[in-house]
Amino acid sequence: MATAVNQSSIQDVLETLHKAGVRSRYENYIGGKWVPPTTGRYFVSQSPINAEPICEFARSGPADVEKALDAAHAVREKWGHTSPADRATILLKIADVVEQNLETLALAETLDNGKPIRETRAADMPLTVDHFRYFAACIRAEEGALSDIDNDTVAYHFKEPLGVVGQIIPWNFPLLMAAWKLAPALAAGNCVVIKPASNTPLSLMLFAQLVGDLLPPGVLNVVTGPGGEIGKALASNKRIAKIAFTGETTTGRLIMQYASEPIIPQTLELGGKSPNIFFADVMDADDDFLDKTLEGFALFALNKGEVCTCPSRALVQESIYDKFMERAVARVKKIKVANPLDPTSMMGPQVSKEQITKILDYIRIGREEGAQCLTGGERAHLGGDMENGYFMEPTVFAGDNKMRVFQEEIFGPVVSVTKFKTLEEAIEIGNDTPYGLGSGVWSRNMNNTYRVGREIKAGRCWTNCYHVYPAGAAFGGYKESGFGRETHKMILDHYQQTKNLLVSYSTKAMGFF
Amino acid sequence: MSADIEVTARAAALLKELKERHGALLFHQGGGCCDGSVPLCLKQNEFRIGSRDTLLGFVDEDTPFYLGSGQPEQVAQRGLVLDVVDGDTERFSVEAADGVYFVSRPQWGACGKE
Repeated sequence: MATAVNQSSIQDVLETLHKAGVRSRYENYIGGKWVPPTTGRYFVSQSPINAEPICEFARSGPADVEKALDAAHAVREKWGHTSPADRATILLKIADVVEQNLETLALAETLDNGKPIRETRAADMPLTVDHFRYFAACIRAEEGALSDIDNDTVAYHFKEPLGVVGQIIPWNFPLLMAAWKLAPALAAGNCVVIKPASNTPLSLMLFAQLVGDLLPPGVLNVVTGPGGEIGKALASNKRIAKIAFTGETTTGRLIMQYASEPIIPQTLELGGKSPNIFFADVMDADDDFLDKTLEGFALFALNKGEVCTCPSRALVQESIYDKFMERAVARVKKIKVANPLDPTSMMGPQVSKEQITKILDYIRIGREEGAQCLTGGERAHLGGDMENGYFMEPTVFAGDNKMRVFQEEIFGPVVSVTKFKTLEEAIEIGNDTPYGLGSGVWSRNMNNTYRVGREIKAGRCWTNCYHVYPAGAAFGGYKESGFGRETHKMILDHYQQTKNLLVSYSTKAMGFF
Repeated sequence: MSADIEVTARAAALLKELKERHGALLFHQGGGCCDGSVPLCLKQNEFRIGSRDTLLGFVDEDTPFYLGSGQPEQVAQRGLVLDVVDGDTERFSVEAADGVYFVSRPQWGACGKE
């Protein structure tokens, strides 16, 4: 599986990035300036490809969060009163600049996170660009509403920004997840204090460097540092009007508790254990559709499985189980695990040592609880300078839905496969999980796909496709996967207040007093 | 439910120090997303334990360890090792500011359940 790409290419990429203006050290981006952390401390971000350092970032403390909030509050009123047309114009310019720097951002993201360069080039960055354009269009086209209450009374509804909002971004799609949150917040006229994950701050800092000047100082503020310290200082702060968080469930619950004090809204996206359901008729012919379906099975390896919607449970109809799994496992075996900077690499390293340790623990748990490992199951050894990288083999387990590897989110390239007999059983197994973020269904019979799609308790059911994330399709969770919807104009409501003016055009008293 | 929770010397020392600083603590392990299936160390008066949380056992005489999701019976059967590693965590755990964080691992082969 190994390729001949070595350390020198990683160094070459670093050099390319530095030539393109990427710094070797980033302070916080506050009030339109680079501001050293009050702590005076920095931390080093490593590349998961070879565990070597790539850049320094501010190791901020709670005082830096306060500074960022000061800057945001200073411009809150002014930014909130800019016209939707002006805000839309700025969002379009942001999209253009990201697009012009797509290659630099894609390289930086791949180096920092380990995701294959073909994914950052073809998905993360183009989707980021499109997201800003989509919300530029949404805010430009948005209108308030009015109701004729009666002949003399009108209810006017105006949309207003919330003010200053806090956003905490995960490490799996460092820039795209930031775009999902930033674009609607800025479009709606809010100022933002945003915190990238400590594993992967590079692309968001580079984004601030590239587009910061397009926004009035203080509208966008980026603070780096340990989430446990500054994420908490942000989420529990009395000066935010809303908190948006993507991450694990205990922290999500804490954020809800914090928000209960100042009584502010939250949107939370907290993971999943998504079922991918394959009906027997997918094998009615050996054609393009079956080929697409087999790719749909292998998509658990997209972004090395570090996706909240990873199709980490596959449910295969019993009558085709053996012959389908033979084809599916063969497809998975073709996944090329290699240096993610190599354009032919299909799977890069896991994001960190902690992550690969956890994945290997789960694989051992799976084996011990009786799941059968059909392929993979080990660390991938690429040798040379990448021997220290966190590479995994894509892994397929066969077992029972009650097993821990079917119930707990592994967040790695591991799929657990089980059988079902009937549509009803597929729905029952599919819903037997605390989560409800994604799901997938594959069948040539649209009655099957519609029924499953409607009955699965998850925010999205991909039907004869998987892992596509266009702006305009709502994304968010049922059950323990959280609440709120992103990637759709409806999220503007999560970043806006509704002001109602209830106006009487009658000159007559009500007659009560 | 009473799971065997083995605490490494480093974890025990850190917990002792954190208790002196923060008062009574608890561990809560949730699931999901980027930093899931890992324990958070929280002040007892900061985190509200709910009816769906399972008390797995005690880390020391007065520090409970709860599981918020997943398969408590299976986790308890295996037992846990509570350890500390260097690095920054995104989790809102009290040790986060110190550049270290707690991790939990299964007790491999420790419970006679092989």
